Amino acid sequence: MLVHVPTSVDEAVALLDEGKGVLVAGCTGLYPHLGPDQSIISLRNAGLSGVETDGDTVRVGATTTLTQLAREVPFLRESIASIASPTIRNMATVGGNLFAPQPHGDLAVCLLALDAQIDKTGDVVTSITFKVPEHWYYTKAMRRKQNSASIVTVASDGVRIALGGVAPGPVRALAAEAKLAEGDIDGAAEAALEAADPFDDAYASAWYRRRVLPVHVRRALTNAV
Amino acid sequence: MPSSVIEITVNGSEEEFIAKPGTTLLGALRDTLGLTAAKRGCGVGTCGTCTCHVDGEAVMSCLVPVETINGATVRTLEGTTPADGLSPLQQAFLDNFATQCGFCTPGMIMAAEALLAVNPAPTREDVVTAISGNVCRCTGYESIIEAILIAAEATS
Repeated sequence: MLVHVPTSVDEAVALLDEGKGVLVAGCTGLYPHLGPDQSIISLRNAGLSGVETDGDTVRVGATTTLTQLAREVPFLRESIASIASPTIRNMATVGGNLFAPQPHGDLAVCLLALDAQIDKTGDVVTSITFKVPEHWYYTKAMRRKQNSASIVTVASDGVRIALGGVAPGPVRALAAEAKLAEGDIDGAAEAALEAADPFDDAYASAWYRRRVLPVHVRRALTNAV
Repeated sequence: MPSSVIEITVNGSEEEFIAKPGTTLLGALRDTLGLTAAKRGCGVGTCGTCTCHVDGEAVMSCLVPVETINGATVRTLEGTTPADGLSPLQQAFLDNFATQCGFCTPGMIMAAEALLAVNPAPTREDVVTAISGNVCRCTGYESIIEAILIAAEATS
C-alpha cells in the first residue's frame, strides 16, 4: 500500500486521474477493507476541512469530521449522535459519509432531506452546501441505542422526506412527501413504502424493515428535533 | 514509493522514525516505538482497544495511516501514567474492578480521558456515549462506567 498525502485539491485530482489510488479522508469506511496491493490518496491535508455559515446557508468542507459538524451546526447534533461512536465521529468525514454503503451513511440521508448541493473539483467532492431548515425531524431505528447501523432512518425538514436503511442507497420518499403536503401524516407513513426496496443483513431482514418503516416515518414526523 | 521519515510528538517526546508505506499509527506505536499499551483487536475500528489521542481527539489508531499525521501530537495510555503511581482513572479502574482480562482497558481509559478533558463532570449517559466505541467482553460495562464516574468525581 502506498499512501499519497496531497496538500491541495488540484494535487489530489491529479493523483486520482493518474490512478494512483482510492480516495480516503477519515479512513473509517473504505480504508480497513483495502488489500495490501491497493494504495490510498488521503485528503487529510488537502485543505477541505471547515464549516462556514452565512445567514441560514451552511457550507461544509468535504473533510470536516462529523464531530466538527455537530459542534458547528446544532440542528444536526442529535442526528449525528446516532452515527457510530464519538471516536469514529472524530475521524469520519462529511464527504466520506456520502459514499458509505447502506445501512450506513445516515448523514447522507439527512443531506438528501436538506436538498444539499455538492461541489466537486474533478471527481473529488470539495464541499456540501445546505440551508438550515425551519423544522427538522429525524429518527433512526437501531439494534441498540448507540453505535449501530440503521434498520430504518428517516430525515425530514417537514417538506422533503429521505429514508435510509430501506433501499440500496438513501432515497427520497416522493409519494410520502405528496401526502405530507396535504397534512396527512398517516398517509405519508404508508406511502413511504413506495420508495422502499429493502435488503436482508445482519441487523434486520427486508421483511422487518418494510414492516416497521411506516411506524418510524410516523414517529419522525410527529417528533420535531 | 520509498519508506518515509515520520516526525510526531508522542507523550511529549519528539520521535523521528522511518515508516514503511501503509504503516498505521498503531503499528508505529507498538512495533517501532515500543509503546504496547494500545492493542490491536479488530483492526477495522469497531472494538476501540487501539484508542489514542491525535491532536487532542480520541481516534482509532488502527485506522490512521501514520504518513497522514506527520507533525501531529499523539498521546497514548503510557502518557497518562504519572512517573510515580497511577492516574486517577487508572486508580479508579483498579479500585472498582473495572478491568478483568485487561485487553480493552487502554482504549477504555483513553476514551474516558478524552471525555473528562472536555467534560470534567459527566453524567452517566455522557460516559456511556463516550465509551460506545469500545468493546469489553468481560465486565458487562457497569464497573467501567462506575469507575469513570468515580474518577471524575475524585478529580473535579
